[in-house]
Amino acid sequence: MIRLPLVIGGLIVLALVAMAASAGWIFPDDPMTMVAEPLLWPGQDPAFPLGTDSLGRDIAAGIFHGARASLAIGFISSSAALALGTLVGAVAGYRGGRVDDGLMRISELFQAIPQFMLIIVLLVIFRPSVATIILAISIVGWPAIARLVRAEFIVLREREFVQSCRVIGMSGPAIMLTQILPNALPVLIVSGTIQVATAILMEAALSFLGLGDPNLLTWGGMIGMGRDQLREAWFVVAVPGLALLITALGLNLLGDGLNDLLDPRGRRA
Amino acid sequence: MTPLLSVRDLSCRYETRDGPLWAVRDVDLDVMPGETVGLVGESGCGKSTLARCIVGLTPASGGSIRLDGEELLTRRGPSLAQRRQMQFVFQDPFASLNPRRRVEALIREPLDVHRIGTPAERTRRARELMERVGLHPDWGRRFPHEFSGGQRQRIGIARALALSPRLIICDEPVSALDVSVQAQVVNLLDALQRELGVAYLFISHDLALVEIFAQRVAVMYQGRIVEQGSSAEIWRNPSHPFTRTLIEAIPIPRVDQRSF
Amino acid sequence: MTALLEVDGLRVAVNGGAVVLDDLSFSVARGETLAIVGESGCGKSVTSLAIMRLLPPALRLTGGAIRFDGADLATVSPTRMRDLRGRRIGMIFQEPMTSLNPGLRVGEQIAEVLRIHEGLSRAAAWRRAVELLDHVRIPDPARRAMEYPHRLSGGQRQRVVIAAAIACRPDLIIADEPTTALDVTVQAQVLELLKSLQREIGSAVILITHNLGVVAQTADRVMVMYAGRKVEEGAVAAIFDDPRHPYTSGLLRATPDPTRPRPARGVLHEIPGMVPRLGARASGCAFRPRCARAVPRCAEGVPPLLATNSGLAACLFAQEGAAA
Repeated sequence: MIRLPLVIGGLIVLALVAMAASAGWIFPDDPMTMVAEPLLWPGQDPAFPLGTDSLGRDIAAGIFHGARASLAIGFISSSAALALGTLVGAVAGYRGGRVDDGLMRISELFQAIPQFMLIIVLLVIFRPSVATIILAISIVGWPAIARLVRAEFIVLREREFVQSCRVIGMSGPAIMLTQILPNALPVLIVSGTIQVATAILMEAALSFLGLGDPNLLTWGGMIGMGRDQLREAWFVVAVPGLALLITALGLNLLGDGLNDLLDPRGRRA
Repeated sequence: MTPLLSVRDLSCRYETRDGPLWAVRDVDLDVMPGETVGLVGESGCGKSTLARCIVGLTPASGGSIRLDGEELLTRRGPSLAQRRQMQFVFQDPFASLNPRRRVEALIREPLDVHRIGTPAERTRRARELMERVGLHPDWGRRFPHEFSGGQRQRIGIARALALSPRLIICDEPVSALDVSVQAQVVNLLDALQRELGVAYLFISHDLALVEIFAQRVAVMYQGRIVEQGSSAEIWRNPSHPFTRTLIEAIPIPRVDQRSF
Repeated sequence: MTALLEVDGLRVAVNGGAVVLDDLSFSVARGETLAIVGESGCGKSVTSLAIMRLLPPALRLTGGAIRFDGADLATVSPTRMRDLRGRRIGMIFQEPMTSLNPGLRVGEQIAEVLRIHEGLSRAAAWRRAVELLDHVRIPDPARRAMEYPHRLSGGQRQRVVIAAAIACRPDLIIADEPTTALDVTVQAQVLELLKSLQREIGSAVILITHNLGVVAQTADRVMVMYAGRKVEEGAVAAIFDDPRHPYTSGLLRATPDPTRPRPARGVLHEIPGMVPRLGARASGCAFRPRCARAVPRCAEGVPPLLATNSGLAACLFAQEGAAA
């Protein structure tokens, strides 16, 4: 069996985590401080292998510290979306009937508005900061997960092993938690991974538009600031852009790989 | 003697696009303590729906189901104490066991839910049950997919026995199994009955098997029980035309009885 | 008279691994019904797939010949095989819902066979399809031909499959558990239909089943398989009357039959143990671990097929009277 996507995706994500973890001691200084001449090309000065931006800040330091911010925002917001989405989806799918109808109407309310618009509106209401960005991304992310979990619970609810637990008198919450959830886990892991990629891209887009946290250096923000020098110094945009691309690709490969790895057993067993 | 299970005027209706569909209609059925009642019929006759109504997996539309004189058809469904008295063995030994739980955990689960004994006692009981149904107690750490169909059905039986119920409802427990394994499982059920005095409501499409295994038989057709009586009597002298058709259709494994 | 189908030393294995069918030989004469019986995993379905050259990719034919009316099906070109399938060899599978295309009208599916193999025009093929539906006793065939498979009952669907299988009046019909998914009363009707069509067309039938009752009711000869090998073969009447292989007699006695005496203990006669997993078959006689008659000699190589009063049996004690 070919698990190349899984391996490549896994390595990329591992590298990202390593970058984020090591940012503090490889680049101990604040990446926002000006350290050299502006717009040094990559390789021009060996001290700044990826060059500097228009304000003379080290791009390499920005990439490392940006990885930290991107991953933190991605993981925290996805975890929140996953937790809420799983809770709502599980209850809706298992209970069915009016509970299901009600919960699904609420989730449709969120899905009816274009996601990015909703985030922008939310951020205009609450001022942009790391916390509000994470909150906004989670709020738009949970309904899709809730629908996925609900579909999974509806199928698993009818399986005989679940009914066999009803016959022995197991309570609804216990059945959801100990019987159905472990069997729905593959789907959750896969969609969670994809959700991290989506969240990172959303945050980058927000920073690009100037709706990011002004006190935080992120890849999106770096791209946004390099926009003006695109003609004379395209690397200022290209380097964080590439980092973003590879990250999204890595997470998607990991998600797909996990899907192939986990799904057949979960469903056919 | 009062019946252990007493079903009266039970009906179960499904709403479909073409109006209501009566899966079970006005069914009366008794199971005495320690006896085996066979419930026979073809696919879609309502026999499985009836079984599911009794254990509360499918809501009944009307009638009464009493277990030991106490009504099961209440708004909240069977109580925990009532559930302890009646258990269920499913048809499909592959689908009815959670693929992600180990065998010992599966057999212990009923004891965990009902909080019977200490954890150590529950584990000991699970091992005893495994041994009783013909599984090696050291196999408890394995997962269901590591077992054959017949062994999985033994796991299902051990799980049903864990609470020492007085009634086990078996929904086509051997129809997914090979002939030689089917015989083993039926003999196991028979031995358990002799030893523990448990009563069975044994649902099957195989009238020949039911005739051999059950003391009494109820024949179901289009949601109703059309004939009920001692199995020997029904086999020898069926009164309802459907029962006669059913008996005539059974392919007997003997050449001197060719029907066509 | 030469046989219509002669399978000689057929071997099928998992790619580079366990042996599924081991040195299987049998023949089918024109017009006769051979039943192949055994429990799950004995190789009976693989045998039928091998004959039709429809083995799944994980399995490979590793030896033997399959002579069908002069041609060796083990080596003929895929084009020739496609022409034989459907035209000279008809097929009926267990689950009619999966062998019919859910998106095509049932008349169309029968007409398709006729257009491909008989070169009939669209209109002529449709007319013939309606006739065939009538022939398999589907009421109101002209209207039924317009239906999609999901609108028919299980029994009617299997009748449609039978109509498609007999459309070209094949010399051989391979029916793999044709009635297992059906209710007993419907099963009886379908078997009776199959039998009368066979008499009329003169086809030979290979009936694959796990149900000994079905064998007794329909077959002329029976071949019992266990763990990928033939363990007994002979005329149905003789084998059922006097089985010489312990597995055959065990199967016969394990089948519920209220007209027979009950065992001294329990309800049904059981065969202890279970069917061995692929790749975990015992050396020598594969049935040895479950056999009451087994002696150390049973482990010394595969028992040869010995001639008995009933036919052939692969048991060292086959000639010493009834199997225990």
